Amino acid sequence: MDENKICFIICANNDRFFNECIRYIRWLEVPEGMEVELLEIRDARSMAAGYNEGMTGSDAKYKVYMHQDVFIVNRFFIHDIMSIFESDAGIGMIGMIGVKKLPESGIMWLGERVPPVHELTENWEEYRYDREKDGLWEVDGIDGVVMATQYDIPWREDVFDGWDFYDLSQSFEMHRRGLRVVVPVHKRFWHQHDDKPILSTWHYNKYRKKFLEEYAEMGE
Amino acid sequence: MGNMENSALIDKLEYYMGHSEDEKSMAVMFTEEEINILRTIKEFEQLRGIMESEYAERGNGGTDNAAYIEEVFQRRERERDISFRLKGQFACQADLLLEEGMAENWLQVLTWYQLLKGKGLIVNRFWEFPVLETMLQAFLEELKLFYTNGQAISVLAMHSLEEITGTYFDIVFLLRRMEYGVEPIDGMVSYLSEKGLSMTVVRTVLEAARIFDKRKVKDLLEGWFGKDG
Repeated sequence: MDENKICFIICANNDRFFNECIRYIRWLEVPEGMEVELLEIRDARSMAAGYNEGMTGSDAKYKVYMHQDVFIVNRFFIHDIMSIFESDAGIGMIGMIGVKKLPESGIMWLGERVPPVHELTENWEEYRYDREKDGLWEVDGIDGVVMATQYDIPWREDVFDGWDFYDLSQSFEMHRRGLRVVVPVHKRFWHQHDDKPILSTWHYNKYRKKFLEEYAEMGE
Repeated sequence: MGNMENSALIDKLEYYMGHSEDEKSMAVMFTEEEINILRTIKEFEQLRGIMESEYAERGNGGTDNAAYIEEVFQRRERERDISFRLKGQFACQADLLLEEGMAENWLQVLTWYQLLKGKGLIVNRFWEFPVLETMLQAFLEELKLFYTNGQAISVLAMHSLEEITGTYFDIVFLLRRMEYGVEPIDGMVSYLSEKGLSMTVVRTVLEAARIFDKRKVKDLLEGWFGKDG
């Protein structure tokens, strides 16, 4: 594993979004000595399958799995992610949005979401995340918009062969291995997501049931 | 361009709502594409009616949260195929209308959109619809200016739903780049000049889009284009 390398892994099927997404990745400040890699996964069978392809295709220690319609607007994202991982080898995964305690239903947005919807309105451009001062939220699971890891844990494409619940599954795979899943306590959003306020959850229930079955022991 | 109105389509739809069994009149009043939409809407409403009565018979599960959640998802699954069909039919009709680049046709798209929205069908299931709603709002703003001072209606240059969606996101991306300093305003200036789009469209998109510091972006735009640019 190359400890001085970070790889962004994106399943893409829309050039307009993908090109905008990588524009922001190229805009990020890169810490000295770090190499940034970008892996574009086309024609993925599922999100988990695409991410496994990306995971095995890169030797970067740090990997960021993200949606094509997400734009990282924290220019110091790489610095901040690394400062968190370097602070504790027990942290397996970092997300931008998480749920503190996943409800029994498995529906993430029915639980307590972090960060709560708030934003700095004054001097937001000057704000920078400070790990020691700002800290972290411990969460049961994170949303799939952006998921950063420092260990390669296989994605469960055997169970989650669609586009839902791969994110909570990966969170629980981390927990199964005794790793922490966290969300930085950020006072301004690190990303923007152009999904519009629509939840296309046509197959959501099928994967929700699979998730509850697969991780039943962890809810006890 | 004369005084535009959309009463013909609205009248026809109103008649249809009261006489939806009258297939003969329907065939005379509407095009094949319009009939397809209306038949699917009717089928959709019947499906919802069936689900409502099944739900009433079964009871609402009392305080059982799991049963309620299951109910919500089951309904959505049963609506899946018909939702995609209706979306496809709407897109087909909208593209036929938009192709001609006429304000009267945009009003018709607006009417069809409002029909779906009013009935609570699919507009909150596909992300293309909030985008379309924003661009229809831009069209209405431009239409007002057309009547006030004869300003051209620039959205008419978009000839399909796909083009409308693409343009919407192009503008959002340019606005966000300005917000975070990823790219100077020049990108927006070139884009608007190339596409012939007005600042009215940009302002409408800015209000609707997920742009955090709207004030900052607005100031940057006004600094370049002026307050009424």
